[in-house]
Amino acid sequence: MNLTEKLKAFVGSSKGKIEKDEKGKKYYWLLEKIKGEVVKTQYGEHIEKTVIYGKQYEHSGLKLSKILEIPFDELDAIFNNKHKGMDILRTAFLDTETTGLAGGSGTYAFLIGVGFFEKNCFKILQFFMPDYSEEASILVRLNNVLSEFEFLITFNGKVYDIPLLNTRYIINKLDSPLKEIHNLDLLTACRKIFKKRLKSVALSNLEKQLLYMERENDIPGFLIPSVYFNYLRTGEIDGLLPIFYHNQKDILSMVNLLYAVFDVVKNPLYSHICRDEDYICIGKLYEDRGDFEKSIECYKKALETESVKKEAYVRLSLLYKKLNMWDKAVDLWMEMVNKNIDPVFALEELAKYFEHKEKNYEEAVKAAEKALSILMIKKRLLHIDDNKIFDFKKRLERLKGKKSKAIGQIYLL
Amino acid sequence: MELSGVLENLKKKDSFIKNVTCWKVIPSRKGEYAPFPDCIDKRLVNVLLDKGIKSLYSHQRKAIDEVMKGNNVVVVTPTASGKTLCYNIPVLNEVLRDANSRALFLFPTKALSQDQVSELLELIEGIGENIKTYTYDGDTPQDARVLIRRDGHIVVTNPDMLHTGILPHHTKWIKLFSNLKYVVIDELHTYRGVFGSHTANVIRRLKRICRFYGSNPQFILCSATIANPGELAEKLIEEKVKVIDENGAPSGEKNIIFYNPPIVNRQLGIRKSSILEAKNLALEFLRRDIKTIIFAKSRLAVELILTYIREGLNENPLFKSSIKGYRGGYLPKERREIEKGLRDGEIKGVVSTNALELGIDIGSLDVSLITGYPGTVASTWQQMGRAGRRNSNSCSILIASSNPLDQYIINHPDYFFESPPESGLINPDNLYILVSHIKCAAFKLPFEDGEKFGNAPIQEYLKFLEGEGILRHVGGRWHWMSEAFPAEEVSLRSASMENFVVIDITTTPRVIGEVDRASAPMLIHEEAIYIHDGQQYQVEKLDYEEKKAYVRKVDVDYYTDASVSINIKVLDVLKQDFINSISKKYFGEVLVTTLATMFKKIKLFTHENVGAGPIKLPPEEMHTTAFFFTFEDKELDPEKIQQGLLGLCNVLVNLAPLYLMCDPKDIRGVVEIKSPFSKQPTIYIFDNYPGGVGFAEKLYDIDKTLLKAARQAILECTCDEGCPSCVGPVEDVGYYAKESALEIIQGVLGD
Repeated sequence: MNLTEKLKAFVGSSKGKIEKDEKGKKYYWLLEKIKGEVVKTQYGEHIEKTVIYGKQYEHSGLKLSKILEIPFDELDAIFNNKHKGMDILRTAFLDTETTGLAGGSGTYAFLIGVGFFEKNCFKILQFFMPDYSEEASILVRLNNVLSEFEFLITFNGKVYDIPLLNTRYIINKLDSPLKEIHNLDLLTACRKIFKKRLKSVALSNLEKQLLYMERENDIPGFLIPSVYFNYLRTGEIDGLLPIFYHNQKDILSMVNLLYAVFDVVKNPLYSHICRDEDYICIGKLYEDRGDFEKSIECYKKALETESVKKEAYVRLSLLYKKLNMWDKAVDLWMEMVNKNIDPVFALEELAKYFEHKEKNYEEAVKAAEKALSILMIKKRLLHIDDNKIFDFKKRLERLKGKKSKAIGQIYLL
Repeated sequence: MELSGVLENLKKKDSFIKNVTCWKVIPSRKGEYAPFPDCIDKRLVNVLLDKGIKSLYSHQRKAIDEVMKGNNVVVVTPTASGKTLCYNIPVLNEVLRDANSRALFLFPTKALSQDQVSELLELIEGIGENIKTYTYDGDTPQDARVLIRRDGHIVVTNPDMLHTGILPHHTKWIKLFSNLKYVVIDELHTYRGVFGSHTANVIRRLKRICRFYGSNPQFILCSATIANPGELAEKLIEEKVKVIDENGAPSGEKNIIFYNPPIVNRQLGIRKSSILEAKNLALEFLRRDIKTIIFAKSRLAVELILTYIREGLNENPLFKSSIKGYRGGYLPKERREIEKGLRDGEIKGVVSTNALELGIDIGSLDVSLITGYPGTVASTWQQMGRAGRRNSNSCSILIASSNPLDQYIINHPDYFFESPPESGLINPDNLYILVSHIKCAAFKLPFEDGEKFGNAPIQEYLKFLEGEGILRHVGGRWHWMSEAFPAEEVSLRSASMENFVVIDITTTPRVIGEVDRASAPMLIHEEAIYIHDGQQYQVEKLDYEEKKAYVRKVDVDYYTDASVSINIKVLDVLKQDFINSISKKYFGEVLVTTLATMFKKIKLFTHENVGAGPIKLPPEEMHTTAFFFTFEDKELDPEKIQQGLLGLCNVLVNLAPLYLMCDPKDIRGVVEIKSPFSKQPTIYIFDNYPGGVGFAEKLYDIDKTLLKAARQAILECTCDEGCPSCVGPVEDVGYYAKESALEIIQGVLGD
């Protein structure tokens, strides 16, 4: 038995045997179908498709050109952008379709889509790798195109598309344009705002929940690699068309999402996109960047949402405390005790307040005693041994000491 | 008291000396020294001087000189001869010369990597330069990984991590691969068999990636004594290697004693337990404050000996706590503490499995006691090497068990002293192993037309993989065309890496140890007595799904021992043929089932059986390939057939590694007197590796050669009815094994 026979007998699988398609170069058929063109570079040739969306084009209810009106510096905080002067005309949107989802250096990006605004129109360029041998060709074209831009918007690109493309450039011994460009990742931004309300921040779910969009006849992402492999093996091109389409939709949705994020950040109280749990996330976002007025507004709004009510009370009261707005803070804590919203937390804060701020040890003792009694009931009924009990006992001891000392001082007077 | 005093006493003690079958004194030898080479950075030399290293041993100097000349080297000298300096000096010197230089250190296990890093860090700290040294393995936190990839001068890892964690992501390691000057492979002798064959292919992949990034690293290897270090090294890295094996380290006088415990029951030939003898001897030394290591063959034996020794030291509680156990399954932190205690001298004695045989630095000890022959000549020398100081005398005692192999060795000391240590065998071009690594390599970087993979021409493999739809050939290159991540599907070692954790629930639950998956059914089945650091625990619950065993402290006077049965089932016959007109041979897929069936309760000290119970656990299954053959049984009586089968199976399994170039542990044999598959007596030899790696298939092809070799081995053996060097000890295989094995071979080969 020779080696090939052996390999077939011991390692080979019975299914999926491929007879090589000797006719090769079938991809010219593809040109016709997708209305693309062959582009030659010094490294080979590949297919490019250009789609132009006019000034009035609407994607899922949004006129794309609306995004040109956005004052972009509003978005710096949400994107953590430290490079000032973000400008939509110097910003590209990027999405790739790849031969596998696991990552690692054996995964190729066979279709790279880049979207950007040009003369009031939105333009998508798609670079398609007709075979492995032409990879360097699409990479070098991508490099050309991206060199015009300073910012790159992606959806999960920070973790997926960009490292993958960097790897492709390294393997092809080409310079990567992605080292220079500032990446703004929409997934990170959306996660910051919507993670509490939406169970999933996958693109498809965001489309559904935020943009009220349902894709029809869309190819599921996990099928994409096998469709491409099938094309390589058989020259079958029909399956590829939905991938081009899918890639375009992804890019358009990114534009919409960017607008949605902007809409929320600009004025959360009047945005129709955000609601309920989102307010606590946005409030926190504002608090982090020091915009306390807006933060307070959002937290107040979040008080109305049952599932985050407790957190909103806690955050808002602590923010008041931080800002030395004691009256408001005390009101909130009282309210929490009355409404039985995390009363132990509120009583602890009250005890601290009375002890350190008011020096009213009697009130402080009352608050601490009340908290302790709640904890003791919990312990009896639910057998939850909270180490807070110990803390409160110590606090009470100290307070009682201070109290008697204070009384002593009064007598002395 | 000094060791020499104790030895003098032993010599005079009749009850001891009458059981000694051999007392060999290896005289002390002077060290051979050489100055530091001039090319070594003064900062490095100064640190060495500060540490009291005034000059190099001749072999260290020679190794460094060869490395400086640009040669690959393999250093083969005994334990504690300063092997690590042979690579630490050139590597640190290079990084001091050029801060961009990088080095990769490979150790077979995680524990060894950590040990090495701490030693290296000490040197680096002394130098005062910012030479970044990190271990990179499964335990490395995510955020540290980014830093290591970019800045690590010296990256310390293991072949498994290189295979799945580093090479597939080579584009993140550009700095390392572009500037890689040295690859250090320590414990070369462990890279044998399947593991070694896999690692050789991982090295091929490493070298391929280095070429891509324009580096061409030099290799520095270290090995314990084996018969063929140069050959193994050259096969592993596929380059010329200089062997440095003239030890320049001094050594004190060394006593090697073979001790055969006295017979306690002449009729049954039962000897006094080697475990109890080891305990008695250990106490002789430990009571006189002589640092002693006791090796035992199993985890259970380690814990038993530890318990007994502590019992024996009851009168001195301080002493008692300075005796520790050491084995796989102790938590890493605990092990590090024990290693440190041994180096510092706080720990006087340690009872260990062969886990301490590897190059973990535990300083020098005075005495090593080996409870039971470790199985190979090389291993025995390694364990003996743990005792030995440069300037004073030391002693190693091999204590035989009743096991026939032990008895053979203990009664034939010349056989032991004259045999060369075992060879390290690998076969990187094994069909299965090679194919899986070609896949991994193609995933990382497309193959070019005509490119070789190491020394292996692979065009035919590439074409085959293209036919399978895994690769695509276009533009003169072979591209990966699958969604799968191939490195994850290939494990370098046969054993599964999954562990069971042992949780003590006596008070607040806490994890006290780990047990590997294969041993779990034997050691932590419900009701088992699990002994950890001399403390007995009873297993209350084994959560097999979650891989957790819950144990509670107990104090009982017994331990438990589980019985295992192995079953084989033929799933598919891939090839078959007649050997002669009646015997048939097969190659096919089989399912090997290992099942722990019951356990016995065995009383401490007396070792009598005081009870038993069932073990209810799912069987461990392994799907693999086997070579098996049948013969006609009409002329022999069943008892003889059974013995002959066993005997022949032993011979074949012992001989086959010579033809397969594999490690003896890579294959196993099973016999069936009436196989459900063939309805005839059948001998199976299977790959001890999930999925099979092609050993069985090779055996199918060389069936007659192998059988003839077996016949010759049996005929040439001078024993009467069988011994460990042919069909196996009479006590194991029976009185007719030799005769009937020969008859079986005759029947199969004759025609």
